[in-house]
Amino acid sequence: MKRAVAVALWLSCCVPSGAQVTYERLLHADKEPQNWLTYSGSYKSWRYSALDQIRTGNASSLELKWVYQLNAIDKFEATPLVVDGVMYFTQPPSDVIAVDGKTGRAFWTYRYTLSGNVSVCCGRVNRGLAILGDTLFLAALDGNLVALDAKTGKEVWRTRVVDPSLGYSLTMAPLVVKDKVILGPAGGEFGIRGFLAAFDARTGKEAWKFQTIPGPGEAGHETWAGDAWQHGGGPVWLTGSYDPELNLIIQGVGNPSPDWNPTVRPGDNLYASSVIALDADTGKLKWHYQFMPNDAWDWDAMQTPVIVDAEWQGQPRKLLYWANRNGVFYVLDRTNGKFLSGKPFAKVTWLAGFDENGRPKLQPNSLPTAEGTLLYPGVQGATNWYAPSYSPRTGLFYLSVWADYYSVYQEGEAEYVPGRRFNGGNIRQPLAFGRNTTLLPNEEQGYGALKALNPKTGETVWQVKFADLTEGGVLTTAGDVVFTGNREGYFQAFDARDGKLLWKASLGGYIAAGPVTFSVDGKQYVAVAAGHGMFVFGLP
Amino acid sequence: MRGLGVALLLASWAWAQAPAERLFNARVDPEQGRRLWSANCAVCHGAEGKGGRGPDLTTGQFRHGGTDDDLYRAIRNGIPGTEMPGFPLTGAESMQLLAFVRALGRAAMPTPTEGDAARGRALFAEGGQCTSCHRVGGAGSRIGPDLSDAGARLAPSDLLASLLHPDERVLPMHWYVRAVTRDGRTITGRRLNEDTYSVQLIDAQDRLVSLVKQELKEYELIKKSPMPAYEGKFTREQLGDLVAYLASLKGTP
Repeated sequence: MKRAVAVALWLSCCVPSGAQVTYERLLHADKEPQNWLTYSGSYKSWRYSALDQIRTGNASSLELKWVYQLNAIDKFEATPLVVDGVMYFTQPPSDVIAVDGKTGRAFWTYRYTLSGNVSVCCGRVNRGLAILGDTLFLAALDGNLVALDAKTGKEVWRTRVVDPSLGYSLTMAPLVVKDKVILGPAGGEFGIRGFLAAFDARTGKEAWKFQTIPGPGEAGHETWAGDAWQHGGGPVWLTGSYDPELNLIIQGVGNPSPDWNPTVRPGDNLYASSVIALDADTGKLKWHYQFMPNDAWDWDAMQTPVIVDAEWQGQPRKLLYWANRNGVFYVLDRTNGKFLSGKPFAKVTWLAGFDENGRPKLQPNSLPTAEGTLLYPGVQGATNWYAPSYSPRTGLFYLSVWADYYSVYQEGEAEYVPGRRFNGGNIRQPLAFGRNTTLLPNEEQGYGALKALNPKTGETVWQVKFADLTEGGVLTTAGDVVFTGNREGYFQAFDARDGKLLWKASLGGYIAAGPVTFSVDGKQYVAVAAGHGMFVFGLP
Repeated sequence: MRGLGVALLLASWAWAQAPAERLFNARVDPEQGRRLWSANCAVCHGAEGKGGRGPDLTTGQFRHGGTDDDLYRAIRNGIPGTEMPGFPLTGAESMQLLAFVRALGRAAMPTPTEGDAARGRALFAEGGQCTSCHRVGGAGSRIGPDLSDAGARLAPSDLLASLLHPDERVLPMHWYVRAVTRDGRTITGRRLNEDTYSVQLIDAQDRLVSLVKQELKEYELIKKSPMPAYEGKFTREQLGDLVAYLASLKGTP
């Protein structure tokens, strides 16, 4: 209560008048669909917008309004924010650009200079920003959390969060809850020790820190043997969700390190490959659920937690929907983390069912070996960090899927060297990685798809198969339109009810980001990062 | 981990960081090289590097450049336009692998069969009608694989196998499309590119054709070779001549 009063006082006394985005606005982000105020659109992370000017009946007439071309070579994975007509997005590795939502003309550009080499597993990427008041928050690749004046792009403060020489990096969009900025580090391939930490939005001072790999004396430490916890991984590189009623931050935790050699880290390896729920004020753990105890496949739980209140077996319940990299769609009770159901949404050969606590049972011969173990899904997962969407109108859960492909998981030596890869094995697979037109997957090797799941049953209601794989995020709207992009560079609109193609545009570059929608002067727009441009569409 | 999907980006970044001189002087560790080979390369290039889905690497000739620098880049970044992906190895690992590949290449190129390359050339251009699909040194059709460097890519035994059993190994880049338009026209050609909604191909008249799938009545991807099997069609001697000719095609450096 004291805290709440303190927050209220701070909000009233210290934010200059005319400040843009109060915590109150963030809490009710879904009530102002003209804006896109957080990475996932709202604390519930539905990526659903109440805008309905663009509908199934007129989406076919969408046309290009503007393009903003980046000055960057790295992959463009950012979800933009839109605040009262101004769009903010990151240019990889760690620049920030503010543009006019109607014209795409820039107001300002903030250039961040990396301090040196950063070890990254998967590109020098950044997925977006957070905002509170007039301040934008950027997690810069080389380990700094940076606060920027949203009006000028001038730096307000910066705080060192992690040391990049030890394999840590920052790639996620931070989450603002109340007066705190919340984020964690990437580095699950480098033997880091992960955490989720909160920083004071005004000063950048650390408020709390939850170690995802518990140390001696902390609960869960007993799930690690010897010193393995010290380099046990558990990165946090994707934005979580927040339940204001329960005051819980719900966050996925990445893979244990080394990735494919679990024999050097016997035990369940909490809280790697888990979802954790933390008290937003103190960072204390309230509950957890581990999707993959002693994960041996790098199936980290870096997916967006989707918060839905719905009936579950006849009772209204606070649910958490989670389509995991391991190929299983989970429904959990988000008051306590209790497992309610887990159903595969793609071919899965490791799972032999769940015990009464929801702990997965492994099929025999699933663990990586020196010779290699062939298993579905493959190492990229049946889905991954690609943002899913939930539409309250259809009640369906939409996601990008890599269906029915395998990897051969090979266990190898694991020697920790600071800042170096710490994989403990290798991966082989027939499926092509990267853009190469002569290498499109055969259907027998697996395929990429947009799927619509019924969250009550986990069953696929419809799917659209793509010729190539897809890393696109998904957006749904009150116009019953689903937007998503794919590796082929198509940005597409489908009917949310049956998957019928309504419209598409070939943007000529890999789409690996989540689209957003917003409106300015009463006119609805849809934006997506593709190749090295931000593309914005609207009706004529 | 995010995975290997952006291995190329990652690799180019790592390359930028790689202090080349130091790596190139790294102590060669044949055991580590063999381990890396088995884990990453053997699946396509064969356990002993004799080739398979990927080319034979024991010939000492490397189609896409044979300097240390070329090989290092190929390992790290892959080779665009081929099935060779980049591998997320450390700089030192890549160098150990490179040393192993070099050792493989010291094995001599298998001796060509005892055919007469000149007779083979005549057969290729005339009686065999090979140029109606294949191209060598800028002459012939573009619908089949260009064979200007066939001898640099394939061992004589593989060339012979391709003539006798062309269906056994057809790379995706050589797959064919057969499409029927709504007005009943049949179009066939080698697939150059394909996506969810369209396909691009080259037809027998060397025309570049793009088709919208939605506008087609029938669409089929043919993963077999349209080339006839020459077992029994050519004499043993003719086959030997043809192989000798093809083995002599090393492309232009």
